[in-house]
Amino acid sequence: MASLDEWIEFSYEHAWTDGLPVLPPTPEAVRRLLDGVDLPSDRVVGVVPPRGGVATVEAIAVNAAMAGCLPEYMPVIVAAIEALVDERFNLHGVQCTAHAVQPLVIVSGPAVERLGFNVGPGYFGGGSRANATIGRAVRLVLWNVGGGHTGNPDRSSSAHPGRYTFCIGENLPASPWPQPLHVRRGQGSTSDSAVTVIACEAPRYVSYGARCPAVQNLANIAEAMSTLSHNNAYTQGELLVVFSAGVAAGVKNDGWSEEAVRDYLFRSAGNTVGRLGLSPYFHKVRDSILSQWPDYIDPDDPNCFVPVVRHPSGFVLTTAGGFAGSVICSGWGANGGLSVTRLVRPEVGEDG
Amino acid sequence: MGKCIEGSAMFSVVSPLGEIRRPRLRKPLPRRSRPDGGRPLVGLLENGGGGISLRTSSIQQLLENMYGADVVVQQKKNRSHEAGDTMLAAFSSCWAVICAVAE
Repeated sequence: MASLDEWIEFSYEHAWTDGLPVLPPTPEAVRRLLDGVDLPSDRVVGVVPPRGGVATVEAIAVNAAMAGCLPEYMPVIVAAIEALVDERFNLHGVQCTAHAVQPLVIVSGPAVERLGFNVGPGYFGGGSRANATIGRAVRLVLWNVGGGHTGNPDRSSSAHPGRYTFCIGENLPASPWPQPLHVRRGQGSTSDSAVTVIACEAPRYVSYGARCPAVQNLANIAEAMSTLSHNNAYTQGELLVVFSAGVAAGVKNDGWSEEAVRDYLFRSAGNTVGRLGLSPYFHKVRDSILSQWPDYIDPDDPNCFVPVVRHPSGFVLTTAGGFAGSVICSGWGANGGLSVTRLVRPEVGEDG
Repeated sequence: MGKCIEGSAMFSVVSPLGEIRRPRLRKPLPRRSRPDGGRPLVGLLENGGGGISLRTSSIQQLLENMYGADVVVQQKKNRSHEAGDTMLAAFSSCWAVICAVAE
């Protein structure tokens, strides 16, 4: 390339970017990023569908360079790709579906503070290089290595802005519970860092009340989930809740355990079989939906309650943000995009 | 280091695409398929409702990129004889027809 301008046009002509400009992945920039992870550059992290591109550590580093990442971000990005290619996630489906879900990366553990994630106000909307460029690098891997190009083969009717970058960190000090997300999901310890991926819709803000019992805010969150407009209403799957610092403080102060919150949401967030019958979507794919329901749902009883997740463990619960409203992100139902957690390898030079 | 795109003066860049890993075929597609000796021609029938575009687009890309096939897509829009005739004509020279159904 003779100039940065030439590179930018080159990247668009070769469809190496999804629309936003990207930085040139020079051999020097790629080498710097490879120095950030203690893995051979030709190590295969995964094969990324639908294109079937091989995500070696080097290919990931190239896309990270285009995103503007720092070398110390590399272990997080590698872990995210490992999680995304897990069969449980059904990345092929997530990359091609007509639905709007996009893969979200949630980082937990000491890496959140060390890498400078914004876990406070505006955490979904920028303000931090870590949030923005790690999420961007993951997206570019899915675009370039995975070939998930808009329109074909990605048939998402609308997608959402998270397709440019979609990465947050957990605010553990503000969490109602002392253990980070990955430990609560049974992986690693509090000294480890991890990523959890889940395919989800755009964040929906849930209004809140200050200085009220936590149950009132939990009820409002459950109410926001009890809609006919998302796949969770029909085929359940999983659903993300990000408690705001204020709501999390109430949950903690009122003594709610994680299990109690899950059980409450499971019993409160959903619709009756009769109400689902109001939806044209339900009638369109009724037989398919009924075949996926667990035994505890009686499809012939209009008063039978259909929770938005199959089991209380289907809620992915974390904490971030300011004092005000929490956020819910609906999933893709039972089709896939289900949450997967992977531990992050120690950074180069980090005790670990 | 992967393939570099050499620059004229300032800098080179590395391709971000990664190599494609082709799945092993249980049974290779036949070489004979088309009178002109071209790529195998495969029909793809969209038969269903919601979510079907996911399957057709994925299967189409798989057939084209992985197996080197040309793909003819037809949608089962109605049950008329005319629609059936159109479909049959489109598929008549195909080596195989795959029916992609919605769940």
